[in-house]
Amino acid sequence: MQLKELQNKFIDALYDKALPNLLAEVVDGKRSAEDLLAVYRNNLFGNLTNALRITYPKTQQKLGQKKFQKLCHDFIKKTRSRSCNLDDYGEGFADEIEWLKHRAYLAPDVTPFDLARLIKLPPEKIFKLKFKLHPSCFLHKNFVIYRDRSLQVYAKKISRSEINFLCGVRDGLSLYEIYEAHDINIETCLRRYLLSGVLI
Amino acid sequence: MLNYQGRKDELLVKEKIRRLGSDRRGQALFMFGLGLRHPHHQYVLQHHPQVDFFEVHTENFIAEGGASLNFLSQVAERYPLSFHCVGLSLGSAAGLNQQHMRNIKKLLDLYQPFLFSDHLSWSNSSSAGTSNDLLPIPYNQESLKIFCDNVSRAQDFFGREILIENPSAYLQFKGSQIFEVDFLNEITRKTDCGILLDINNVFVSSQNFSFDPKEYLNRIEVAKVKEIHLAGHSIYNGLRIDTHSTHICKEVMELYGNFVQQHGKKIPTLIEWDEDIPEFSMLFNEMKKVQRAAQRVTK
Repeated sequence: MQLKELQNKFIDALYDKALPNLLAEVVDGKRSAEDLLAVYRNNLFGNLTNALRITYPKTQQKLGQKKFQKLCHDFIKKTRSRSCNLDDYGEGFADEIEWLKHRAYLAPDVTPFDLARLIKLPPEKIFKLKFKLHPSCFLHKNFVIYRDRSLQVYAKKISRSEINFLCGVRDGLSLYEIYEAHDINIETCLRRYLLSGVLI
Repeated sequence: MLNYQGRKDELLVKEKIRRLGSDRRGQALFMFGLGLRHPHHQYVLQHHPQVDFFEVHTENFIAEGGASLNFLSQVAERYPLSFHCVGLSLGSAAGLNQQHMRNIKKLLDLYQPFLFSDHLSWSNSSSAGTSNDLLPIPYNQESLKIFCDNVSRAQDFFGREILIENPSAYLQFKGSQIFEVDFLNEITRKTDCGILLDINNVFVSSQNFSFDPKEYLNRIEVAKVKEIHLAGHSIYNGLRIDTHSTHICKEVMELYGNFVQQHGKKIPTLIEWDEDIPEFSMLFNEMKKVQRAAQRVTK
């Protein structure tokens, strides 16, 4: 069997079950070929379960160890890893907020907008400003997920007006345009999200 | 007595010497390092333990920013780093993953580790997905060519030498025609890469496949060995498994002592402990134990 075919069959056998024509390629040692293959299968399921455990701590806490393991096992069986980077594994496994927290943790470093710069500007110029969301910031339903200046990651439930504010920023609107569209307290929102490092 | 600036300069010089791995007379220093794992991150930053170098799993730091890279930058300010990859998949017939290579190169360029390694294994298939694990290779001419091509491409891309680590193995293929150590030596000859000799892995495989670990160590291309790994392993139903979850066993310590004594070469030695991770002090003591054993036989 050519190496390319052998490697495809090996991975198939790890995710699914041992294939007879692969087992024929393996030397029976102190244990049967099937048992030896199971060592690698256990490693694979263990590694991917561990990756899911790191990304989804709250899901694990909620379900308990046994149910979480079962959920992982079922997920891994139907969702093969396709990336060399385990951080890419696990999207769609459980609560999307936990997945977005994970992405926020890994997002690029970008220096947040400096509050001192803002203070020096006259109000009319401030209202013309267009901010951007920090790459670690995600909006999901009525939650904002972000990484603050001290690199801690948060998921916070926020009000409708704050969602409108952050959606406006995300969509490239100026502070004035956001105010015009939603009639919200811009100053409060601006202060909160500048301090937390969400705006760049 | 040195003033503050003088002391600071002296420390900087010592640090530079340590980074080069040799003393003032150009003699190789015997460096002893530890695998740095998440539970010890804060301890290392707060206490600055006397460790010659730290080794990290490169794949744990493929982030574009955030806390993990921030941590690595702080460690790199104080300690020489060794980057140990687990995902280059150098034995894949599918070739190398370009995105992963770019991610690793970014880290290499940023941190300039003094050692860089991956394994004699594979993890990616062409169409069935990846295992994110170190899978065994049938040792034959076809896989030798594939492995060498991948190593050469990777070394060209990274612009530096890769050390290849012998893995622990639990199964062998009927299509294997070459003894692992000869396969590894041949790779170094064809690609000019180095070897990361994991003595625990030699012992684990020797017990699983009934070969003499001393013969393996006698045959290895010593001049190419640039780093040694030591770790503990476990036994399940008669099979030795490379768990990195316990102390280095007596037999592995003996093999290490004999290897160091026989070759008199001061090779950077690293202790790994990845599962059931103990307090840092226990890991540190394990390293000191290895250091004493090496110093006894190289006096």
